[in-house]
Amino acid sequence: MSTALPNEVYLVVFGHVNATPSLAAVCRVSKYFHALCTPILYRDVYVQHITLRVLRILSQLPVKSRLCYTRHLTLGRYMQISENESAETTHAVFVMLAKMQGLRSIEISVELSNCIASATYSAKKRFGDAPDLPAMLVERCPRLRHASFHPWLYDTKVPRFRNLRTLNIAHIPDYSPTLIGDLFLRE
Amino acid sequence: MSSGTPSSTITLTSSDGVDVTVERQVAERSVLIKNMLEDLGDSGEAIPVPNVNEAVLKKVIEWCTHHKLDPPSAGDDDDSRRKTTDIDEWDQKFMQVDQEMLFEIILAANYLDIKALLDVGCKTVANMIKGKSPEEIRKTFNIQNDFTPEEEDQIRRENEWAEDR
Repeated sequence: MSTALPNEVYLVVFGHVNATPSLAAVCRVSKYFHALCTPILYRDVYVQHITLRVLRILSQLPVKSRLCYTRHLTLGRYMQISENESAETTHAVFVMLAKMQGLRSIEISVELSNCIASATYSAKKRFGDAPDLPAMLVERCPRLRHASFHPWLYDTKVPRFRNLRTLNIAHIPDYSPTLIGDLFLRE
Repeated sequence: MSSGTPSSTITLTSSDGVDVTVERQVAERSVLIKNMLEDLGDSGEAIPVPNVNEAVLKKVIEWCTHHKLDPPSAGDDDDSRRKTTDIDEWDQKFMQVDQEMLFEIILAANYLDIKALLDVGCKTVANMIKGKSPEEIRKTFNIQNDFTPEEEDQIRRENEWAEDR
């Protein structure tokens, strides 16, 4: 092909390739395509099957040119390989979230949420205090608008989300309705 | 030179020097030409389109003629995830040209600022990419692989999460 398309046109093309595996293929074509397409691939991180292995890779990616672009994160079915990997899994999720400061929406599967909740529970019992998922999200992802995870730990401190519009949790503990209202800080 | 009602046709001159007469309403699908007509007034003189040759210009006019009554495109959709790659049937047939012509049409749409045509062209190219391996994409677009095997492997590992479907 003798005719080449300019950068801005390629960006429109890749924006229309709305299939993650195809975007990943584009990233491997050449250095030029990799530079153009990687931010588009990382906009929407959707992982259907979560393993500790995948989480380790994701959490070690750089902020610049990768995770800073992530707007939507979906962590799907968690396949736990061994009993004692919950702590490391949770740590990897938290490290990854800390690098995704532009995140707008997050959805975490029941299996993975349960793993994070139980690891947080043990850590709190052992060390007195430990970060939990809502606190991480409030602190690290200030632009978060939509969150979906289950369950909500009973002794979770009520966090103050700044931009949250929807929160989807399976079990709301015995907080009073006014406390739930406090979740959404209006400035 | 009359400053009254704008004439209903205008003339465009392609990069290879051919004059093409076109309905003003059709030509105004191009934001570039529309703005030129507004800024310069309608002098009745031919408007040069230096980046587009006759064959491509005629294809672009064919598209603009078919779509001259379309409502102006709505503002950019905020949620890029909702973008579809659906192309209407007439446009699909229109885009069944060789790849060189397809790219020329896209470049012309980009230069002339015809967003809807640019989108149809880009969606067509996106559909050529979908479902292909990196090697197949390289073949389709005649692109050299300039990664070392180590670099390519590193990217494959990084993006492993994305290939699992």
